[in-house]
Amino acid sequence: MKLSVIICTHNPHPGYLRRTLDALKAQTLQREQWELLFIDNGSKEHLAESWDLSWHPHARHIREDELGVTPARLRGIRESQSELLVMVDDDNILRFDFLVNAVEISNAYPFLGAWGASIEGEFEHQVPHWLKPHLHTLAVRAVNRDYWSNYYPDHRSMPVGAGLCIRKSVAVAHARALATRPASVKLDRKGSSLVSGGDIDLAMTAYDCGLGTGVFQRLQITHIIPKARMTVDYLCRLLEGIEYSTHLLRHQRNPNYCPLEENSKSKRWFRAYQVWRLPEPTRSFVQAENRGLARAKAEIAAKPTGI
Amino acid sequence: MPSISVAICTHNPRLDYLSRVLNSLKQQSLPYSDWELLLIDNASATPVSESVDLSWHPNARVIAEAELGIASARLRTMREFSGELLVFFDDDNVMAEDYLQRCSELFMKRPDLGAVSGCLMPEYEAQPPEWFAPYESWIAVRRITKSTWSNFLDSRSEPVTAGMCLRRSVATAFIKATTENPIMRILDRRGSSLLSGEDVAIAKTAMKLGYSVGQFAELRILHLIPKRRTIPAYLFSLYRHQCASGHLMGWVDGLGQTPIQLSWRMLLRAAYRFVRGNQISRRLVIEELRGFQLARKISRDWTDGQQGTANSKGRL
Repeated sequence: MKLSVIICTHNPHPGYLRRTLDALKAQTLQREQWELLFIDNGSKEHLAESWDLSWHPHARHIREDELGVTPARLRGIRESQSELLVMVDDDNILRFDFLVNAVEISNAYPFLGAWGASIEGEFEHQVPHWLKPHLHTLAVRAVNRDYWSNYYPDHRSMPVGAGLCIRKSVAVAHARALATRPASVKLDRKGSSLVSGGDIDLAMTAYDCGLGTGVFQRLQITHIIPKARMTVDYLCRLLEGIEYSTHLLRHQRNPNYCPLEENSKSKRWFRAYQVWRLPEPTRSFVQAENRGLARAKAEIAAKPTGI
Repeated sequence: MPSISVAICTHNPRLDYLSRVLNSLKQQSLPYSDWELLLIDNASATPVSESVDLSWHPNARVIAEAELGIASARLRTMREFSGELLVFFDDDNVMAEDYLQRCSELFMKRPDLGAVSGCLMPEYEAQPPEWFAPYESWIAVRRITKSTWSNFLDSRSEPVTAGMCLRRSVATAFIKATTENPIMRILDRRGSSLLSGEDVAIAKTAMKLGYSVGQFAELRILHLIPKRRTIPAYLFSLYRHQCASGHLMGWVDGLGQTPIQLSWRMLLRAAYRFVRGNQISRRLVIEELRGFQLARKISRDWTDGQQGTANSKGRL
């Protein structure tokens, strides 16, 4: 068995999930060489009854009742039987050669621990102009070359959860680390909450293991973006959640970390002026991020031990 | 194991430093048979071959490069070396005895690497001024505890030329790039000029070929720093030239088409730092502006020179 595909889903949109599974059916990697773990994360209806996986020789339905992307993924990591795991969301359409390429990259780049894909968006209606600079926040980030590094300079070499390929050793180290700081489990998406530190936490464990992370052009995914995610309100909540969880996660990973405080009064005023000058809805986005930061700061200040 | 060429570029060396450098080479754990030694004498007043003895190494030679400039010396080396890997040292880099061995192991383990450098700890002849501590990187000091590598340009993984180890294919591509675009040689450091930028240019060449670059903690060098390089006048001049190099590098990337300009935003920030900052930061602001002027002047001279040659060709 060369790899395990782990799909975590919670009350999925049937049309999207159908396309996700069809894309997996069309993979050129022989089905004997990979397994499919279908994790139903506390959906209202048990998905095992309605979704047929008999087309795949190594497919399993798994029900995880503890709600949240992280518990679902941890379950998948525990149940998997191969050395390479691929995390697929229920709205990710993998190109036919995705799994073949994932295995190839795993062999060709033994120094990487986690890597991701070039992600195109498929939008339910036309992308409004204000959303264009924020598409990467919605996990739409197409790349035209490969990036990798063993530290986190910016998002170029940092994979997102959609289509994340990760070595079993790194995933196991992640599970072990989470056991020592259970608060981090709360930093991931759960039901309708939009904090999302889990993807980054998972990928950053590669650095702790002495390996790198990367993003590869030849791994191609189409990410379906429904109308509901293309609103100002959704993006505000998402940005706030990401800002909040990123800082809190950094603090949990390294208790000495504290978000920087701007000491100079004049600079604070200048910042405020800059924000005030921004056009809507960009101003709301910056304000949402500031709210997330403020919440993270308050929480860190309240619990200086970081646990 | 890939074979290694070690190149030491020197110009009027301090002999006590140079003998320490050569001693550290003598003590390398990698057997002499696996590497060759090139000592590039870059237009020294007294030929270096008169003052050093390389007979202890079976495969060593002195190359005299008459054209002054560290870049000319490095280019000459890139043309002449015979190994698969090339390691550059300055004449003040004392390397740990496992340096070459670790280079060789690293490049064997990581075929994706194109150019790397190591951890450079300083040995100051005289303590630098206190304010200088955060700026040590100006004089090629890199106190690295954790290795960093990437396949895109980022300051944290950018290798420096002191102790840089690179692959033959990178050297070949670098020679080709500088020959095709003579504008790249504008940053050559000649004699007392302090311009630099070759490290970034080599890193960019490596990454264009698809290689990663990095700084590795296991490659250890002691960087000997003489008194004259820690006096404030030198440091400020160095900073001015580094600012100029930064502007010029952008200009070279645009092949001389993008003008070197200061934006209002940069001027405002400079003014703010000048008003609010302490004495040191004021001085740095001034040096930044002078560096800008210097870059403008160099680029203008270059353009004029080009037009001059074009005109004279036209007349012929």
